Amino acid sequence: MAGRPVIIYVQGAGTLKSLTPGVTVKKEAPPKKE
Amino acid sequence: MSTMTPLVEYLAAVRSPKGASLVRQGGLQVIVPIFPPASEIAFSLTFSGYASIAYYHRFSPSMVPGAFTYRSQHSGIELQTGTIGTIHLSEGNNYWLVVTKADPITTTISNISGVDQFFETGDSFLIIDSKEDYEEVMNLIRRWGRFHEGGR
Repeated sequence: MAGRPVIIYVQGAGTLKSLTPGVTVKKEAPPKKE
Repeated sequence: MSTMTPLVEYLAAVRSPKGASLVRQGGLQVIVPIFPPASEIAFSLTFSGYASIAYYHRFSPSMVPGAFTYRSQHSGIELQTGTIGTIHLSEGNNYWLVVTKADPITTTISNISGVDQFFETGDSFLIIDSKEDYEEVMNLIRRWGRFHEGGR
């Protein structure tokens, strides 16, 4: 995916695998809003 | 809204002769905090254990109705295709899918709106840890079906 980096956050009992180049998968909760 | 079907409640309550649970309950949450406009993300999803039975899926009510299209497949079969609308955000879907590493759910999500969007989805499932437990669970499901057909 062109442009800004895209992050997928995953939590729980399972695995997510990105099939789209340029997309990062993080096994954690997303950062809280300020 | 309750997400536990009677069959899920039954399987969650069954114990092996040793007293251990035959299945464990699990959940998986997927969040894309900033989904860029006019873009598409595809991913595959597997749950823990030897096999899992996924039985409930929902999108977050915090999402904007009409902002995403989605396409979901399992074992070469189209599960769902469409635009995520108000009804999908207010209610989840009950379904019944055996998911393994060899047989993941593959999903393609597109942000069709003109701005950044928040995306969140969640699944509930039963985790089966071994092949033996999987066969026992399938036997129980077959018996459950016969019982509800009149005990044949």
